[in-house]
Amino acid sequence: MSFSRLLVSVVAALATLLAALPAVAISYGGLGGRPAFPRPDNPRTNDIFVYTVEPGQTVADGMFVINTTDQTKTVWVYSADATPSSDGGFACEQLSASNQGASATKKDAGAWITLGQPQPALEAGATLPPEVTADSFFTPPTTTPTDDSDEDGDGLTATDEAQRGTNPKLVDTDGDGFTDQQEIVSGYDPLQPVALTLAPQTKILVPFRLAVPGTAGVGEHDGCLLIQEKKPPVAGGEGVLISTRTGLRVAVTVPGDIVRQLAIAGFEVRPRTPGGKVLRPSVRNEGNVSVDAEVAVVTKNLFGRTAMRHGGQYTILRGQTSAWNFEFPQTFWGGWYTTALTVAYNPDTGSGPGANASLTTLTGPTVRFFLWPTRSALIIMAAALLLLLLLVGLTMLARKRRQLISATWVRYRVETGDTIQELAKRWGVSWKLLARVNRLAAPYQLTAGVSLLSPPGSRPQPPRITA
Amino acid sequence: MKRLRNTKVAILIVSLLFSWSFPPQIIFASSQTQLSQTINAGTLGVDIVDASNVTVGSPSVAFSAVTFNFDTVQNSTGTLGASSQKIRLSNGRSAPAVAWNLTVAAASGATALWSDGGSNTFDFNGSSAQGRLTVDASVGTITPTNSYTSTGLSKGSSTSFAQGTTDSITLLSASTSADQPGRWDFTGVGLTQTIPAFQTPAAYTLSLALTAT
Repeated sequence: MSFSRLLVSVVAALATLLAALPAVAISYGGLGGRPAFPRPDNPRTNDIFVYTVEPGQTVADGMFVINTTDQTKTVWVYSADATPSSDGGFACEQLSASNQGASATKKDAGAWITLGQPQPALEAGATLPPEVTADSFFTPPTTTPTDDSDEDGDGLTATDEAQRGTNPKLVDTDGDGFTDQQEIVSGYDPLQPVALTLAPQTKILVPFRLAVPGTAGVGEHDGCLLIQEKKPPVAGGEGVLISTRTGLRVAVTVPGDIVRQLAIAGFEVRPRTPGGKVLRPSVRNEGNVSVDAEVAVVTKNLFGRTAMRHGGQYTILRGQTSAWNFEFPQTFWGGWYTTALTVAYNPDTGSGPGANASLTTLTGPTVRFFLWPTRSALIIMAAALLLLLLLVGLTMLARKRRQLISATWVRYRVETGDTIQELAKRWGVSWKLLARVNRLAAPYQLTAGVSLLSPPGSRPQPPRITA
Repeated sequence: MKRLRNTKVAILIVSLLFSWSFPPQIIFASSQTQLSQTINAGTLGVDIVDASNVTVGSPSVAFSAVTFNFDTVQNSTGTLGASSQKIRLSNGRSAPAVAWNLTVAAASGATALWSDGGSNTFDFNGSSAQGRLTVDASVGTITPTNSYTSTGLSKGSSTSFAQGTTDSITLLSASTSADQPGRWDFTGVGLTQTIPAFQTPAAYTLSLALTAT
């Protein structure tokens, strides 16, 4: 069998083998979460939780906690209020402030979330059966006769546990190391944080309910569902100890007199280290819900050509002023630039995060700035300037000489036997100058009787004496 | 009739020769299969990794040592995101793109303190004289991994913690024009802590939490 036929046979066998394999699922590695029941009408709900809920109403939902690393991970899952970060960014309160303790309590959407019993682990790529919905994990409360039994021995009666949502069969419902009763007595939440252990490439569904209190004000209330890796405390050491966590935004809009309005707060151009500028637009949300804004900063050079575009869609939180630092790096040649800001958003009060509609555009100030050239560009420019000056000087010198020649040189009639070299030598000038002034071309032969310009003081040669 | 039979034999011979000379066409035609593969959407996450891209077990930032001083407030500096402890932001979510933020805050909230584990403490979010931590993300360096770009990413400004006013500081923010999926390393974030005068000499620690939302 020839080599080519052998190769073809091997390729064919591999192709057949691959065709026989089942579909392969690949996930990006990491530890994080996703909404378990995204809404088809709002693609944004693939990544965050978006609700419109009347005061006094409750919605059920769920979050997948996903571990696509190759290690077993133990995590805390908890809800927290949102808090603005510097520059108006979205951030979440810390775990210590999320337990409804006496010193730091949740007050907003974070407090409205009650975590349910985590479900059995699934493979990371698994999907839920279509019959499973967010409501599947919660049974409506029923009126039962008072039950003073305490099956798990945590000091809470079955009636207490039913009212508080704790598990009557678990001493520590959320698995955080403190019994349900200890947490209740201490003013902490017996249902949070939930401790989960996830094997590699698995996910766990954590159902939750969001109950909006009857007193909730109109507008958007933001909270977070957070996943934080549980690590043993570090003993000793010095400096800053770092932990990491990931959060999913929970945006709850209480309907009513909704205002969606943005205003441009400013547009600054600041120096940047090392070189260049920082273009810093800031936009103020004057409404009572968050707004997705299309921020565009377009910078053009002196000739009107677009040098750089910055921006994209950002979420500007209710009552916040968001600012961004767009870097315009040092350009090689430097020069004058003009930068302009526009902000487009959807003013439709009936739309929430992720909705599409026609946009209102705000135009901000136009700022002009100058960038110094780089050192290399300065050297090149200086060299070019020097060269230019040299050329100008030489041109002026040549012009001066031409003027001098035309003013002072006299006519000389060429005689038989004159050559340009001989005349130049006799007159003490370069033969090339003589040729240039008289526009003589190679081979520079002189014809007797022709008139030539000659330097001042040159005299006709005395007649030659021949034997 | 005989000519027709000869023609058929000729065609057969040519066909056999062709199939012998170019077998790949025949073999692949008989095994055409559509391979099926699903790439599940991932999640947004932040991690601290070393130079070999391995998660660091107990990440920390060492600050420059200062000497006890009775009268003067001193500065101690450190770098969040050293080359051996890179901040790695991974966004494995699928389209449509969603804006995200990377923030830093004290893990114990606004009431946190630098502590030596005993009774000696000082502020991270007080006045300059009480102790104030400044985070300067603008001097940091964003390094996209793989073939991703820095488009749509914006570094935070130099900001100091201030209790009740600035409890969380933005390190990075991404618009919807940032790569999704995408992964970036962020290094070189400047940390400066003012040390109060006559602060008791000891080794102090403060826990910070990085949050990707």
